[in-house]
Amino acid sequence: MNDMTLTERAVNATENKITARNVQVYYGENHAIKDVDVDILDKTVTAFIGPSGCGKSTFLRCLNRMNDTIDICRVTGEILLDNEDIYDRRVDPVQLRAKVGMVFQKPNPFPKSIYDNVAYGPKIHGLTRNRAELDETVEASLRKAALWNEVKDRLTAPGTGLSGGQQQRLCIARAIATSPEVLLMDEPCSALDPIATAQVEELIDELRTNYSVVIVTHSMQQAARVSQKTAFFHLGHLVEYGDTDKIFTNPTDPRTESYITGRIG
Amino acid sequence: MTLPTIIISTRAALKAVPPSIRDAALGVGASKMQSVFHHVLPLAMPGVLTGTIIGLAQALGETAPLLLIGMVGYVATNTPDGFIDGFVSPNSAMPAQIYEWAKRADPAFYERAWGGIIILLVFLLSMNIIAIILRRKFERRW
Ligand SMILES: Nc1ncnc2c1ncn2[C@@H]1O[C@H](COP(=O)(O)OP(=O)(O)O)[C@@H](O)[C@H]1O
Ligand SMILES: [Mg+2]
Repeated sequence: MNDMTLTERAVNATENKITARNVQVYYGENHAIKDVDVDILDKTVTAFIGPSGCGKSTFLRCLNRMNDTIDICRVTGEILLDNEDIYDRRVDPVQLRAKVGMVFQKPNPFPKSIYDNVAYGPKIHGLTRNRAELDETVEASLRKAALWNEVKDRLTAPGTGLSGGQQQRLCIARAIATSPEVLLMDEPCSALDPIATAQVEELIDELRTNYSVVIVTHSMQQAARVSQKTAFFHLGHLVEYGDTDKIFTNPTDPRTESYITGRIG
Repeated sequence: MTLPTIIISTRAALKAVPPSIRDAALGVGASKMQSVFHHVLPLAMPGVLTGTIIGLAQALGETAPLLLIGMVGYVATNTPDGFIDGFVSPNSAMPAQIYEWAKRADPAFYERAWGGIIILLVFLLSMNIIAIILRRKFERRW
C-alpha cells in the first residue's frame, strides 16, 4: 500500500553494524547453522528468507544471545556488534539485549497496562531518573511505534486488550523503549491480518531511520517491500546475501532462484 | 497431607504461564531472576494461593490422620493458662476435639460438639469461597 514511500528512501548507510564470521549453531547433535558469514548494515532493513526449518530464527536469536536460554544450544564463531564480540565472556547478555531489541512472532505483551509494558525495559535498566522522564520515554516509544494516537487515552488499560496489530506495535514500542541499536523481528506479521501487516511494515520502514532492523519473514513479497538487503537461508547455509532488488530479480545461486520462483519451499 | 495438593497446583500454575512471557521479559533485557520475580511468579501466584487455601481447607477437615498420629489431646478448659501453656499443654485440632466431645455421654458435651461442627463448617466454607473468588478474580486469558 505504501510502495511509493518505500522506494523513495534509498539505501544511504554503508556502515557495518553486525559482522558475523564462521557462525555455527548446534542443537545437541543437530547442526542447525553452518558457516554463516554476514555483514548487517546500520540504518538498513535486512530480511532473512528461506524455507521453514532452515535456521532463520536460530540465526536471529544468535544476534542477541537469546539462544543462551536454550540449554542444548551451542554457538561457535564470531559475531561482532560495533566491532565487539558479543559472545565475549565479559559481555553481559542482559545488557546486550537492551541494545539489541527483539520482537517475536506472536504478539506477547505482558498482562499489564499499556504504560507498564513500555515502561518495563527503561525501569529495569534504570534509564530514567524520575516519573516525568519515564512518561516521556513511554510517549516517545509509543509515537515511534505509531501507536500513541490510538492508546493515549487509555494508557492504564491492559495491553492484552488491544487488537493483534496494536499488540504487535506495543511490543515494538516496548522493544524500542530501551533505545536499542538493532531491532530483531521474527516473523512479526505472521499472526496479523493484512491491514495490521501493512501498518507494521510501514512502521518498519520508518524505524530504519534510527535503527538497524533485521526481519525474518516467510513472505517474499514482504521481504521485497520492506528490506534493502536480503539473505536467503537454505538448510542451515546462508546461500545468498545481497541487495534485495538483485536477489529478487537476478539471483546468482540456482537454489535462490528456485525458492523465489516457488519451486522449493 | 496438604503438600501434594499445594505442589500439584503450584506446578500447574507455573506451567500455565506462557513461555512467550518469559521470552518477552528476557527480550527486553530482564535477567532470569527478574523474569521470574517480575512476571512468572506474579502470574502464577493466584493459582498457587488457591491451591494452598484448598489444601489447608482439606487439612482442617481431616480427622483420620490426626487420630493416627495422636494429635488428639483432650482440651477441657477454654483458655490456656498463660502464653507458654498454650504451646506446651496437650492440644487438639478441631475435628479431633469434636470427636472427643461427641464420644461423651453428657448432653453439655453434645452442645459443644455441635458448636464445634458449626465453626468448622463455616471455616471450611469461607476458605473455599475465598479460593473461588481469588481464582475468579485473577483468571487470565492470553
Ligand atoms: N529449541 C530448539 N531445540 C532444538 N532444535 C531446535 C530448536 N529450535 C530450532 N531447532 C532446530 O533448528 C533448525 C532451524 O530451526 P529454526 O531456526 O526455527 O528455523 P526457521 O525459523 O527458519 O523456520 C530446525 O531443524 C529445528 O528443528
Ligand atoms: Mg522461525
